[in-house]
Amino acid sequence: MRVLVVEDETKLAQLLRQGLRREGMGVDVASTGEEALMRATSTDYDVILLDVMLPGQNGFEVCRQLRASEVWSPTLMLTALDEVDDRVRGLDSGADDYLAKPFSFQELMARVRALIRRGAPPRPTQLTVGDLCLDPAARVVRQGDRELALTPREFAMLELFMRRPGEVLSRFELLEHVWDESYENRSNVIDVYIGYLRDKLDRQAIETVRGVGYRLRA
Amino acid sequence: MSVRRVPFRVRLTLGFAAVMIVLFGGLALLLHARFEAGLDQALDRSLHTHAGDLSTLVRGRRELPALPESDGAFAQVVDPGTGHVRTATTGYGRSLLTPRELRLAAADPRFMFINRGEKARLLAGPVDTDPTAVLVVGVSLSQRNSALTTLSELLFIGGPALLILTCLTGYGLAAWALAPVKKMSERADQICGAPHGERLPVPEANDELHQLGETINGMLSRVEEALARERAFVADAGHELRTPLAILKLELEFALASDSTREQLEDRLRSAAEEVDRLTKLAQDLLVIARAEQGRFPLESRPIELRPLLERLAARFAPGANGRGRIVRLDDPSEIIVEADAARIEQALTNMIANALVHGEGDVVLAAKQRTGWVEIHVVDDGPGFESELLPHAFERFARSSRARSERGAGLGLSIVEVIAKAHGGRARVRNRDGGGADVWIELPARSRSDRTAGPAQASLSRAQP
Repeated sequence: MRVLVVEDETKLAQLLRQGLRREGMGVDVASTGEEALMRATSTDYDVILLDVMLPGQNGFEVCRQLRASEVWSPTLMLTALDEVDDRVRGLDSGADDYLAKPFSFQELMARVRALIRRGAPPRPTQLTVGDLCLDPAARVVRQGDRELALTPREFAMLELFMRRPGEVLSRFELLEHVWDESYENRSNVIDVYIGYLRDKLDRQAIETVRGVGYRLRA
Repeated sequence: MSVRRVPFRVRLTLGFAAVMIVLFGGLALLLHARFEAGLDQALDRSLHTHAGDLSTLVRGRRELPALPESDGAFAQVVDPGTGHVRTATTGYGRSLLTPRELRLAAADPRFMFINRGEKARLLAGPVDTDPTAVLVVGVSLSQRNSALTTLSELLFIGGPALLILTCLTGYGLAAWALAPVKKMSERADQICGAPHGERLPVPEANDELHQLGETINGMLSRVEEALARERAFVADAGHELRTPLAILKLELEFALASDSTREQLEDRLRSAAEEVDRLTKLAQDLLVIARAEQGRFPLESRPIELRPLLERLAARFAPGANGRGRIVRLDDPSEIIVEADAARIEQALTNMIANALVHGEGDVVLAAKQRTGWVEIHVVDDGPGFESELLPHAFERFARSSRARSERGAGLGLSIVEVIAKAHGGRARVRNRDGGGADVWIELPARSRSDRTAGPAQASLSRAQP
């Protein structure tokens, strides 16, 4: 397993390198965001440990850029900031986990192992299909330059479509993922909401597949 | 309930009502009196006219004609000697005057008014010089009285009605005028804790309420800025404390791992001790800043000779500097005495020299200069100077250049320099020298002079290189 440690505090970086090497991992150290981006785009790391307080670009920004350049290595934010806001910001910028300093090395290793188990499938923070772009964290949908005003249900429905572009989703799947069991009346609510979405996107955006369900045109 | 606890709107309305009662009451009384006098005057005039007419009619006649009634006025001619009614308006056959009144009326050639209570008003007098004829004209007061009653009724009903109307209007106006205050207080209620960009609604009119709103909003902005600074400080302090703690924890954890050799253990403990020193230094620095912020920064000021102080500092830093091929030396060794807290000034200069040694290059030059009213102490190096974006923030807490971030030091050294300079009534300045290198200096007031209030010479920026 190969780990990239992004940490500007030399001593801490060295300690992490020692510890991880003793666990049998290959460790590279980057001390700035630029260096981290350079290394991460050229090497396929199994885990990236990313400090938030970096000189120049901060860790949130580095993480966003990593994901933007399609580096899907599991990333663990390592930081001295421990406010809820900071943790939320870290995770929403594309990090997979968050650990506040000071931390126990055992816990760090356990989290690193968990991240490695999960692997590195593409998991963009923003969904893009055609000219549609959806940001679940910011709850913003754009079509081209135009921002769409969607209700929470419409948003949830569009998110489901955009997570599986080109796939046909049955009424049952839509109902199961967008509505909860407190919803009793399984009448034509799906068709109604499909209608709303079509009104807001455009008429052809979602096509009806007769007898099966609906599909978002990619 | 004391008057103070009555709501402002109610007090305003009550005050308004009291004034209205006095005003309206006075006005009503005046109106009533004027109306009554006017009515009486008109009555008297018509009685006079009537009497004049009838005098002409009965003058010199033996046989008197019957007297006509006109406009509710009646008349009779009475013989004052006998009290016999010689002629009269129909229905007034009995003498209207008492014998005494008759005599008086006959005696006085002028006509006299006699009131019969609220019922009638009479005018009596002799007809020419006829001793057997006294003309009495009279008019019933019932019409006049009923007119006055109507007026009184109008005033009694209309007055309170008007009062209620004005009170309601006053209350409404007060409510309307105070509506912005209500809105402001409602919004203020919603702002709990730090105001996150929330402001009070300010009425558009340029009045006292507008000013009040603007003033409070200004205060909210300042509170918000102060809180933001405080938060940033706490976050930075947290970061600076947590990093050494993280290192400390890892070192101790690794030391506890059973496979460590004795040498490794010693290294780890040395490193841990280093981190403890770093934390201690940080705690001290934070304490200095926190104390200064609370205004608890006692100074033991006494006259200090700067030259021996600078020499001592240069000597103290010399071994470390020489090891890296650098020199700490004095420039311009003139004798300057400044009144200050020696320990604090030494602390400030220590931070400045350490800063120059860590982040600068070449020789570190210490210099003291006497300016008008001020003493400057400079620490100059030949390094790359401050980064342009750092320069305006050099004295802010936790401000560090991107070059310096990976090195040790929390970025509090120069903050403490500034804190110390300010505590002495002076200030700390920084600039990049034209030829390269940083110039950090403190300006302290020369206390022996009386012109201490004058600011430090602005020209210092353009003066010759030290």
